[in-house]
Amino acid sequence: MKRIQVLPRDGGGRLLALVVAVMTFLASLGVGSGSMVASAVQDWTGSLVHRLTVQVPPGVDLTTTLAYLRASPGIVTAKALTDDDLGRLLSPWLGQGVDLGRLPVPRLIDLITDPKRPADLAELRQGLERLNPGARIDDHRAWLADVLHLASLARLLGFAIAALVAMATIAIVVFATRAGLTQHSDVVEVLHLIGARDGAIAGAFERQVAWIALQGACIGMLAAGATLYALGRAAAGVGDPLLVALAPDMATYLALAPIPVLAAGLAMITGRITVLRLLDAAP
Amino acid sequence: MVRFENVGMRYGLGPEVLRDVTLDIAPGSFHFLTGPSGAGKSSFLKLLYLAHRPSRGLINLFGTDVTTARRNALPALRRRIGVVFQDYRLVDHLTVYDNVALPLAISGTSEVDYANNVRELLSWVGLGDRLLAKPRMLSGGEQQRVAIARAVVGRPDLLVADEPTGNVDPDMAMRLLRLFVELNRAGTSIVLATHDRGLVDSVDATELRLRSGELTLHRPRNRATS
Repeated sequence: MKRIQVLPRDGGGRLLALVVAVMTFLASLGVGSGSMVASAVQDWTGSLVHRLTVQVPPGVDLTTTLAYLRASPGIVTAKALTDDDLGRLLSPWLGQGVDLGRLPVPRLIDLITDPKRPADLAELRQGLERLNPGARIDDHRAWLADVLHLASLARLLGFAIAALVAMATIAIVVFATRAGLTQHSDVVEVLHLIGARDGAIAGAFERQVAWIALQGACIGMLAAGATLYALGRAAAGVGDPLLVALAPDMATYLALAPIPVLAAGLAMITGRITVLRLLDAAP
Repeated sequence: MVRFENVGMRYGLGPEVLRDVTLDIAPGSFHFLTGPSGAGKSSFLKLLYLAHRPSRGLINLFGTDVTTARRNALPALRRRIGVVFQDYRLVDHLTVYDNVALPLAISGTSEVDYANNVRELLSWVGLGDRLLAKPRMLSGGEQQRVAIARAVVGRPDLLVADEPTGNVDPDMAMRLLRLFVELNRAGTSIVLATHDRGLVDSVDATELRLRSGELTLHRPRNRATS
């Protein structure tokens, strides 16, 4: 069947495309932010999940402790942080060039564990306590749990925003389709009287609405992608490793890619159902 | 082919605009519909081309009782009816060619199969050089010819025309009437509403006279086409 252009390309179509572009921009920001946070958390947790930090009271010689740790099962490497490393870690609070030897700063040992043969934390704690009373092992579990909780909340929020935007888009498409049907009721009546089925008329509307929504959604998605890219560049410029991890990666852009197709599909189905319901209610 | 039995029609809660209309339209027949303005001609035609259902009585169209037919059964019936609306009802944003091709496109015919027919028909009604024009660029008479071409392009079983020659000069009116007569000879039943006595007198056809919603039949003295 030759495709019938039921709705002329008029201002109504451009307005709908604009609204869908804005909605898609917001939904893409929501989904993109959720994906970025998820990637960053994966980055952070991935770098911590097989790491332990041993904290030894100040003034203790670490040679025996390091030897004990390196000989313990499940420990791949054990490396004491140098004064320079500690100085960098404490610089946000103490400033640069502080003589750490004059401060009661605990010594830190960075442990990397074997993912295939996890270290026995209880045994390590007992051994360290025997060697250095007051020594502690931090497996970052509490921090990781908080971060993961925050990340899941951020992702949930991202998808909640996308869901709200989708609902608002459905409402807008319903209004636009109703307006289009009213505006072009004379054409619809002629089509009916020359034998067009409701499905064919709904098909003409749905194709047009889907095409308009696809154009608007592509613009909105590209704008959101550019915004996230700019934010990522700005975060990278700060130089903080935590912020750098927040920059959008390929997974973020891939999460945005299907949004225009989903928006067009949503608009198409909404348009079709709206037209069929209205036509069915007609005499 | 078409049977009305005691058909009455009213709009909403208003008075009946058609009362106790009973008639048969046989396949291949030719009928003129006459009557003064407000007599109910347009309402009668609306029942014929399924724009309205009767308030009472029975209408049988191509063997289907349209008073009780389901909504989804109507498109198949409408495709067998060609309609020339009094106000043409062309689709403004489509070209002349697309307007005429619309019934065929809607019925699923491939453009390859109808393109030549549409062009030939438009040439016949004198619009062969206006294929790509939009209706608003045409005069009233030209629009009327496009509307006629759209109504006849699918060779319908029934052609319903409301004042189809009301806006063209007498020569074009006779030319269009010849088109209807040719179509009728090919088997299409014609119901043509007109105020033009000259047109009615030029074809031996049954005249349906409507007065205040009541229909009477007047047979021609020399039956040539029905």
